[in-house]
Amino acid sequence: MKIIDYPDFDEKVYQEVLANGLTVNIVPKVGFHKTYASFTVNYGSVDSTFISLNDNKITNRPDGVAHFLEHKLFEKADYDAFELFGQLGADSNAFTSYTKTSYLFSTVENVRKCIETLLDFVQSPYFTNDSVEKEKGIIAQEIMMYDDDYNWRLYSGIVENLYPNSPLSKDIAGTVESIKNISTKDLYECYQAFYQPSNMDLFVVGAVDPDEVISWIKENQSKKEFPVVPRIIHSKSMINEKYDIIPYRMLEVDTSRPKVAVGIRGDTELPAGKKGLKYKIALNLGMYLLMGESAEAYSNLYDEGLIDDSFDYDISVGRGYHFCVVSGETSNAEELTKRIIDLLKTANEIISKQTTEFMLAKKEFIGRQIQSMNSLEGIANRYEGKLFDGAMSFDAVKILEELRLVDVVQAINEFIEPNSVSVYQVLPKEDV
Amino acid sequence: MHISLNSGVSLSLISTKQFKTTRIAVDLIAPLKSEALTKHLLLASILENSSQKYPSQKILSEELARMYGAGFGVSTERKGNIHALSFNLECVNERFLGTADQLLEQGIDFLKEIIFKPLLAGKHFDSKTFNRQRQVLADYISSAKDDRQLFATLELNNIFFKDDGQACPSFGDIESLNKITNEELYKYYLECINNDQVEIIISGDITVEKAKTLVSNFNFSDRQPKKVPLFYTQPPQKKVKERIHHLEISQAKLNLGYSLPVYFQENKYYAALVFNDLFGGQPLSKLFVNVREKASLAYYASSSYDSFRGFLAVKTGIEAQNKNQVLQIVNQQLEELKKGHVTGKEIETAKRSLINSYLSQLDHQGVLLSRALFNGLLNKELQENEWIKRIESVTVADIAEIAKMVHLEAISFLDGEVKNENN
Repeated sequence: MKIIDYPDFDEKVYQEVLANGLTVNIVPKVGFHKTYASFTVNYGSVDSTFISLNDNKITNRPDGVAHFLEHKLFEKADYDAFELFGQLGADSNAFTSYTKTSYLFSTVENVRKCIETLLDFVQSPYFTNDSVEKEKGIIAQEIMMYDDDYNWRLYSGIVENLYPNSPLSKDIAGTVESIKNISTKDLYECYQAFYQPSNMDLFVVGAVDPDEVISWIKENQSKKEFPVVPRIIHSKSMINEKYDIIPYRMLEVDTSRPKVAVGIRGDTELPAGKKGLKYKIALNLGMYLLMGESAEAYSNLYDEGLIDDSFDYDISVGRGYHFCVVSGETSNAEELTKRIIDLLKTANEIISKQTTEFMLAKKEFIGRQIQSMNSLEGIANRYEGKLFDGAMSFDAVKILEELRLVDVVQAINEFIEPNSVSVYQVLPKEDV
Repeated sequence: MHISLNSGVSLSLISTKQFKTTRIAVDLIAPLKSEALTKHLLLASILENSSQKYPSQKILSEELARMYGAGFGVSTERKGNIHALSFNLECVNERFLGTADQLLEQGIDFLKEIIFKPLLAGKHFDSKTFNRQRQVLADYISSAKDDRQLFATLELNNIFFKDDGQACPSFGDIESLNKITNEELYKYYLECINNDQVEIIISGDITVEKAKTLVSNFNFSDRQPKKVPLFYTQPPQKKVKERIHHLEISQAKLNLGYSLPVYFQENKYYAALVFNDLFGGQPLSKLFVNVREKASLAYYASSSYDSFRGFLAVKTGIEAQNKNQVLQIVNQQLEELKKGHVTGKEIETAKRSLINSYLSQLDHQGVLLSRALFNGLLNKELQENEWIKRIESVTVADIAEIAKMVHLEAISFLDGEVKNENN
């Protein structure tokens, strides 16, 4: 096992790639009661198009397949993984994002059994027509629940504006219509295409002994045969597709306050490996200097009553895409939109002058990184695998320390292009 | 460790090396009054955003950034018959930063400024800050019902509780907000800092001596806080009260309110925890399994138990037409538990789940602070082993006994026409 030492934080990461290609990371945390593990496949909602293993041709699957698979993987012929974790005293869960699906548990006891259960249930697909049909009702309810969440509608609305017709524009869970078309065959084929050890990683963090944990994992994996399958073809980068942005859309609903989202699509390829993480951190710092709570613009907007505490910006970076969403509730959607766009236009000019603010921002970001090391979930969930060349959240502190204001200015300059900005508004009905 | 500093002022210390941060909470505690709910929240917003030394949000945020991104917030909490105005600060242990800055000392100085030297204009708060924060709060209150799940929860609360302070939302209401004057609010704040019970809680790598020296800096005066029973009780309601709202909504919400007069750390409390876990407290519970998984009727169906108010709430997101069927299934699950129809395996799973979450929470510094607060208020601290032992000793008969104490008293239903867009 490779050991990466972070003496400044009293942290160590134990890392190994197993013979079958599975990447394992283990982070022991002294003094903690809990162990958290996350088993992640590099496969998410955008991967509905891929090369079929059967005929080597490009194939399309219904939207929402990755999420559907996530739901169904827990159910087996003779047991339910969720229940099994419960009997072991553990909590388990799973989530699907644009490019990843993660299965996880947290427990204070039976760590070995829990790790084995996690590996076994994810690595033994079992789907029947009956259970697939029944799941459709449950997922339809889940989709409908999100329909009533206007913050969610705002977010998915702006993402659709930024990436129209691309896989990113589709809801992660699919639609009530698209999931009707999902079959047992779809599930098996997608599973076989993507759930290969070399396309997965296991992250264990908490009250564990790394040597013990790796031996359990190896013993478990050595008993299993994995079919030799061709290379995995992920869907294409959303950047190269060059979809035209939809500049503006709005939705009128039964809500009391307008909500505004301004989206910025990154149209350059994300730098590979750890440089990608540096770029993401630089973007975050840039947006913080531009419109974070310490920024002049934030104070002005707040004092004028155009924004409240719901105002925020969120930078999303994944395989094949990166974008930023600035959003908030407001008393005046039109004015707030205009002000955000003006701010983006003058971003470089504003940020490049902020030498003192930049030093303060660095301090704040470094402190927050260290605070986040208190959270087992935070440590595991921030791991992005291949995307950032295996970088840990511990690496972010060093990147921050070395970061210069020119790096931030350059990243922002590259990122914000006039043609890559879009607006989505959720407005109260009576206002129109 | 709970130490009395001076009359009405106490310190709880949780000394630990587990975390990379030190956390401190200063809680001002008073008996709950309905008219004070909105005042408390407005105070929290004003104090969180300004002080004499840090007169604007920008200057205040910069000060926090200077302290390596210290986390800071002022919040309010309603629990049983009391409410708290809570000042919280989290700073990194400088050992991990290689700085000579004494961050905890700085943090305590910062809190002292916030608590004792608010931004004033004569005998009231700075008018600009007051007006802006009142508007922010008004916007928040008026948009609360946009969150349908929250609205359903608030409605149930409103139907179930007889006392105004319990029945209205913890953030108060627009009418009382509009009535608050700036002068009156400042006067009220002075009463809080001079009369309310003060509980200071610190968690981190710090000795008792150092903690005592640091918090003595606050200089809270002696006080004789009014003692009220911590737990809220109300007489049982014979007739079930129901309220229905028609909203534009794709998923209907059916929420049910039950009385369960068993209180925090009483003898039956542990059986009530196990009961709730079996009934709807977690995803393997009867509600989840029977309403969601078997009948495929809902995306969520769960119960929660408020042991400071003797209140059990069930919430579900369903299709409106299935209301009666869901009601019947929920009721059936309760009947099953009354009869003790529950397997040894189910009980064991529920117990393990409770113990797992109890121990897991020891890994969250914020939870440790909140546990220390209530242990301090109740003046009893249960050791981990004792807590686990009490959960483990709960029997089927104990659970059935709790189920028999559960009475349906309130129903809130948010109905909606089915929307066809985007499907």
